[in-house]
Amino acid sequence: MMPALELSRVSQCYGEQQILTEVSFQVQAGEFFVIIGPNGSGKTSLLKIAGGLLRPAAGRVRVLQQDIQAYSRRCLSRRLAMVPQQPVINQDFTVQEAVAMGRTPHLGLLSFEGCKDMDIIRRSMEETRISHLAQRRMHQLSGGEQQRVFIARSLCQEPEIILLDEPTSSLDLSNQQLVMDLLESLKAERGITIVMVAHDLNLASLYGDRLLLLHQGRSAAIDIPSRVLTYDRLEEVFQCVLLVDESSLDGLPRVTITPGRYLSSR
Amino acid sequence: MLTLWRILSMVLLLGCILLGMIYVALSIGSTGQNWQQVWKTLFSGSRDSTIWTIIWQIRFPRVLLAASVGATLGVGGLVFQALLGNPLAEPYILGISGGSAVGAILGMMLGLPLFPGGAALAFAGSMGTLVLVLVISSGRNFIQENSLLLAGVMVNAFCSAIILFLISITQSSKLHNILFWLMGDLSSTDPLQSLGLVLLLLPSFGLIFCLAKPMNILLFGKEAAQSLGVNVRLVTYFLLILTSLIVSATVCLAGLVGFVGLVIPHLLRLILGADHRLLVPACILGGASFMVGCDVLARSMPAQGEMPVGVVTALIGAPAFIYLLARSKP
Repeated sequence: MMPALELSRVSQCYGEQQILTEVSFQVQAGEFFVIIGPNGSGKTSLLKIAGGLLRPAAGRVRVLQQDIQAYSRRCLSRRLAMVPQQPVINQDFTVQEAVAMGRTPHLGLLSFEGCKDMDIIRRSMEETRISHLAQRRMHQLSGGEQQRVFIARSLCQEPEIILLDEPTSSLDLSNQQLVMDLLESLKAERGITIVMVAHDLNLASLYGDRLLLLHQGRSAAIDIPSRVLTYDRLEEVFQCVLLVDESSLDGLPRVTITPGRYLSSR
Repeated sequence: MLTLWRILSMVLLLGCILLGMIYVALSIGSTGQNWQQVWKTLFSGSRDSTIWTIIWQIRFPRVLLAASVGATLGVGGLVFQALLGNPLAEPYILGISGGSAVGAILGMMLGLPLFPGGAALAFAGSMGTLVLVLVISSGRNFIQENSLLLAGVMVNAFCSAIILFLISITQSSKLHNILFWLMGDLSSTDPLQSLGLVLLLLPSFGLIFCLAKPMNILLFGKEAAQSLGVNVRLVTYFLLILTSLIVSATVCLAGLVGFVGLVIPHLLRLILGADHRLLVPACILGGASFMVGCDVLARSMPAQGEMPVGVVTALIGAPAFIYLLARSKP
């Protein structure tokens, strides 16, 4: 197994505030890797650094065995795609036009989408089940549909790695399942490496091969879900009383909040 | 999906409209209308008639200037709207035009010739306001849309104050010229200047068209653009500077003409959709046609002498803009 993404001793600060402190991890090719942690623990910053949108104050990032600084923006965007947390919705574009923008890194400034590009655009829309929306405008879609448009756009980049920032945060249950199953199938069928930031510990547990738990900008644990999502560790990191038991699905850990109970130290 | 064929057919259609407008503009003037004679004069070789002089030396440079100004303002508005992600952005609102106007008025007051003195001052003025707006809005971070727009509005207000101050200390003999020029005036046209402007504009329009795709992607946010391989900083700064340059050049020659940069991109976006590969050429041709048409109206309206074209564009543009806004609500 080759590492698709390697971060070593990455630190980041905004002014005086230390956001990330010496975070290191490796994501293997074809792995479903989920970054979890409380609000403000540095998840989004870490993802942006991994995707080259932010330059870390210290540390190294390697994408597909090559230093991220060695890539041009264009080159990087052919191998690594990002789906932002709150994508800008531009109401003037149709779904198909928005998806087609994923082809940009593969096309010249003045060239038009050819047959091959149109095939990839069509296939991306089929895979994300938005073909029937092709001619709709972006703002006419539901949250779940919009999210799938941005995933389709990232697929058009034909990337080996896709980074997603809380892709399910505003979706209802069926759309959560749709998006997560889609990512799972991209991993399983196309071998695409998935790295996502998740708020929902149970989704992370159900879909993640390995989890990275961030706590105040440091990595608190990196392992398979059953070893990361333990009662004492989560209680310390999230500072609240939790019920952690085994889901009847595959025995994966399940985390539940406990109404009305607080840690005595508070 | 957009194809080259769609762009070409749109260019052909709008090009025909522009040619039609130009023909009308060449035919109408203070000496009355003479449709057939213009046709004959345009396509016959004889150069000694009075009408030949009127058309080629008086009307044509003016029409050329009107078309150039309209094209620049149309595409300038489009570029600013894309870069700032704000449908109300325009070189005027950002203070770019105001800055060039301050420079140009200074040039006039100092009695400098238009080129190189006045033009250089106008460009310096526009770049000055651009830098000022960028510095105020960005601080240490990279451009953020809202702060940029707010800074632009403030700088523009400041420029207006300076313009009024300069006017208040101007000798009354120069006052009429400056006031008319401020309202957007195409009447004092030198053929050489119009030609020079066109030579500056054509390559600039070409460069802007080359960056149409990055502009499309920028509408989905800077991070999205970055992760799709666009060098956001380079594209943004390059387009801002280039647009400021061509806007200041048109301000030098034709003064302050408003609303073209707001109305034309909006109108064409409603009709053609959001793809800038289509919108850039459309705004160039559409802005030019609109401006030539407004100039025809300005010339044929009763006024003391002639009416400044900026008055006409604002009279047509402002209500049209309000109508568009009201209609486009979902």
